[in-house]
Amino acid sequence: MKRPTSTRGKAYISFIVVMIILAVIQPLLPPYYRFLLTEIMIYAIFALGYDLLLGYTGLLSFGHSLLFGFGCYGFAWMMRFYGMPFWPALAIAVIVTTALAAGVGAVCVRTSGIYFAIITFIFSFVLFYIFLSLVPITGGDDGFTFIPPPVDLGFISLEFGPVMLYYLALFWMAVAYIVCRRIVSSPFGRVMLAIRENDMRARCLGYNTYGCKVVVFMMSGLFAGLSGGLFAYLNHFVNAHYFEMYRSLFVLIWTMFGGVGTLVGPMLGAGIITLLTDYLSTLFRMQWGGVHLIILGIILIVITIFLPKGILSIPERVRRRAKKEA
Amino acid sequence: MASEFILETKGLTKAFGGLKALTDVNLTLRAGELRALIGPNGAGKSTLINHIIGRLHPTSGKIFFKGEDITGIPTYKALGKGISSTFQTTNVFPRLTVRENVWIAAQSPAKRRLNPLVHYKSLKDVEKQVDKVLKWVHLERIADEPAGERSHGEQRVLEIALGVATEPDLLLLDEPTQGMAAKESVDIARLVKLISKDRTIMLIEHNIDFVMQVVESITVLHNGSILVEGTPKEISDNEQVQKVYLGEE
Amino acid sequence: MVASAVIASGILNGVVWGLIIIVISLGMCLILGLMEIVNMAHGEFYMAGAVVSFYIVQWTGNWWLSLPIAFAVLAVMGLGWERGVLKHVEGDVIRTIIVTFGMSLIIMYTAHLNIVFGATSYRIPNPVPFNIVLPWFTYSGFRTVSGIIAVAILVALLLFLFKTKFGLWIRAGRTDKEMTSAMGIDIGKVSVATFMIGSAIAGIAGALVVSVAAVNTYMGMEALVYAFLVVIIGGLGSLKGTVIAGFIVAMVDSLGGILLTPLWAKVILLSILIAILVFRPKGIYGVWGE
Repeated sequence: MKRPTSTRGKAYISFIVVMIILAVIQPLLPPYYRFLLTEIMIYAIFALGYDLLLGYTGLLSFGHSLLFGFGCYGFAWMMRFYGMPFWPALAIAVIVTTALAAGVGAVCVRTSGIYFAIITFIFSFVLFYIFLSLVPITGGDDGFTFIPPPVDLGFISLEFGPVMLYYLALFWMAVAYIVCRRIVSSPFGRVMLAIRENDMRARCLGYNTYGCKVVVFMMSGLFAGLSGGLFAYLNHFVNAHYFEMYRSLFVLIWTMFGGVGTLVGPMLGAGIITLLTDYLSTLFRMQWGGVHLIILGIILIVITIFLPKGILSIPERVRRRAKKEA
Repeated sequence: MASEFILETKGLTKAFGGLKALTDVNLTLRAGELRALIGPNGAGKSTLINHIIGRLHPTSGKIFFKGEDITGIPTYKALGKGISSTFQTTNVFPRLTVRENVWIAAQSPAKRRLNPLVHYKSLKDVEKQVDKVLKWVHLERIADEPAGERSHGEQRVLEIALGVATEPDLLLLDEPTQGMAAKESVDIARLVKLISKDRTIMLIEHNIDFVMQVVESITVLHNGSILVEGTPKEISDNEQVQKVYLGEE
Repeated sequence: MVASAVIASGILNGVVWGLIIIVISLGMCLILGLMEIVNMAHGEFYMAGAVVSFYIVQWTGNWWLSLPIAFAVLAVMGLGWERGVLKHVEGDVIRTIIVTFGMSLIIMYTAHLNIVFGATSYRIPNPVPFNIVLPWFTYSGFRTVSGIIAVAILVALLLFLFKTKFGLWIRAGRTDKEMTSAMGIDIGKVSVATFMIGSAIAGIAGALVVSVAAVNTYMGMEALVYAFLVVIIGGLGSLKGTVIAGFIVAMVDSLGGILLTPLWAKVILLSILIAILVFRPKGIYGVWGE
């Protein structure tokens, strides 16, 4: 849609405003919510990559838990076995996950739609099982911890701590958003949309849709790896459950709930759903363990049927309804 | 190796199991021609087009474009060579606007078309092309409407716009007037004649009036082989063709 | 046990497991072929069947009775989900998958609730009082019975599909939905019935394993992965492919588990999948899968 420059300017301003708000409220947050918000911002990065794949290119993946887990372990292994400092370890996590995404993508992307969803599901489920069993490498159920190094910025070294982590996550979330925004408004972004709307036609118009889809899968892997690495750092602990299926489910719910194909929606969804899950799981304790997941399942169904474009589409629907009645 | 023909098929044969869809088709097209491919249903017209753009691979035979062997080329490479096609069933990008649809087509030959770092609007040459094509096909008024919501006729026009926007040397149109009313077909006829000025066009059509008015030459396909070729006058006088169409075969 | 006996029983286990996987996968294949729906909750229907059977055994002590009951309960459940939920996203493949994923969550975690089933696994005591005595080893009577019943179900299903009018409608719909509809057959009703049948046989399959496999709320997801593997390797939409792939997958899993380790069996299965995707994306007999 042709966006007059004023709307583009508005979007950037709202982005800056939100970043400032998030930066400023930090000291006011109780430690529990500061930690939760840090987690949410890391999840937002994961969701952004996922939206590139689902929202803009139309590929539904159930395998992102695999990529996230790889990011976590990529980082953790570098810590544990090589004692690497923060930045190289993070870089390795991202590179390794992107490479994995390239490999998996190259195989899976030949198919599309339901086939693709099924295959990514199989991959992530089976590999989770395999990683769970490879105890010497992954630590299995128990996992392993590592000593989190400080973040070295050259002129200053930031010790591992909740405040630093918050701003680290905020920084990366901002960077991830800006990069994704650029990708999506670029000529390549046009091709992503074309693939989503009509893959065959895009091919007949000269685009190598297979190659492009692999690239998008790699991009979404990059963000999954980044968020995985940061997540591992945040918890300075990993276990095989970081590969578990439910993360694929969650990222899907965040994206559908917030608004697929909007970049902002999935980030918002990550926030709201995580807070909601947190609230519900304290409300219903062990006795009813899993009720929050039942509720999430219901939310997913309701959103998919009645609000397929997520909560961000509500203002537009209201406007359209008002116009119709006028 | 220059060839006198822009498109040439040699012995093109396609068999689906026991069914022979195309048998030894030797088609030639000169640059700048405006040719129609006609024939009864099942004659193999769409099959032939699908071979040229690489969606089907022949059982035997070859296809040459500008002298180069393009047999079995992957579909997306066909455009790079200069071949564009439109489809019998409307095949646009439904939830994107008309302008965005044309943009994707126009962006295709551009340099930096897969660049993820610049803003797509910075490709000014593409923008100019989009405006030009929209004007040609008279779709400016609905440029910002989602393509999928437009009328059938408008979508058929958009189909052609997508084919033209890539500035191909050879444009293949599969039933451009499919499902259209008489008045709309006249507009399409005018459009086709307009865009034929700078390129070679081969179109498939069932609308014989359209064909007779618009094209310079006709190839008649029947049961997977070329029955006869000639000018519109020659074809309409041809008894064999009449028999084939009246189903007396 | 002697090595050959171990292998022999491994093979037999593979056969029985294969039959059960085939039953589950055929249910999925029928639904997929006719309605183009990937039911992510299909595994949960299998689990639900096991849970139902478990309770019937608890209340009546009669396992045999639980089979038709599981069938009926799951048929009704399938009907409920189809009309209540799936109907609303008909035609939109992606949204349908997402919705069925939501369904699987709800079913799985409802079963997880302590008042329903809870988080622990149970196995019911062996309802088959005899074992099959073969020349050099003894094979579980229960597994034998399960296998036989599974075969019976498959035969019944094949007879239904190929010898009855309704089965003909289903097959016609799989080949060409529009044409079948144009011939005056109510495709909508056929689809709903197919969904019910597919779900019901998944339920029975669940009932067939209650004395062997651990009945727990995660068995659904596991079964789903197996069903997916079978459907992809066999070829989306192909009945023949599903049967053959079912045996392959089960054999690899069973024999691999015995001769190597369960882990290696999974690795091999994954490698087969990758090989298929790279060299034969349509699966062995695939009709779809472009």
